[in-house]
Amino acid sequence: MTDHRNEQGTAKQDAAELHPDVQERLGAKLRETYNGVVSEPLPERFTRLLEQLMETSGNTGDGQ
Amino acid sequence: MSAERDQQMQADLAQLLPNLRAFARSLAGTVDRADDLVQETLVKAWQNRESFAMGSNLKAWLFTILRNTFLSLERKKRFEVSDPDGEHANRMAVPASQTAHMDAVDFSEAFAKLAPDHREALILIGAEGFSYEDAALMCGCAVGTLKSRVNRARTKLASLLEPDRIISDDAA
Repeated sequence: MTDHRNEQGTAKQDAAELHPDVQERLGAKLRETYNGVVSEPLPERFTRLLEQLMETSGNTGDGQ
Repeated sequence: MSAERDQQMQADLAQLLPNLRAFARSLAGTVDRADDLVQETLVKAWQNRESFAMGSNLKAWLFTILRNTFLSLERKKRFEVSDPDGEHANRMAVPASQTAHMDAVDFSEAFAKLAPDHREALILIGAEGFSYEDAALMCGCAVGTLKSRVNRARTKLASLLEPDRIISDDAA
């Protein structure tokens, strides 16, 4: 409790301090970074995993 | 459990995988750890797929499993050795294609400095576009708490990235 920063600061106060331009730029960067990961090619391990999961479901109709 | 429903679930999981990876990356930092988290999430989701109500929000369901898995791993980790510095530097690792943008690197570094629950809140609202109500349910907190986390995360990011633009005492 020696920290002078106000950890309990209200949401209203926090929001009021941010200029709309700044908020918009931050939002754009956030989405750009996030979508950069979303659009990465999928590692093969996941394709394999999905196939394995499907096999454990048993009744896929084929094989046997 | 019908094979048809399983097939549908498998297709849906495949479709949502990129988002799960991105969400995991924003929580876990390193690519490897994030992908391990995604893998565990997929396995758990599959094991519990019968408890998912078809027609409800699968992405929210999966994201909830992922963040709960992350939190329980973090709790375990607290009793182990802390991260070596190398892993910290790697957080939200930016793909090589983006490193030309100094901006992107700066942003990732700043983002990594946020508290985990603030990163989570910001991603759910700001990047994934969940409603505050849905995101609060996923995080198991009140809507007001979530809003406060988002606002504090934004303010912190701004203070790190655009310290000169932070205003203002004359906002009134």
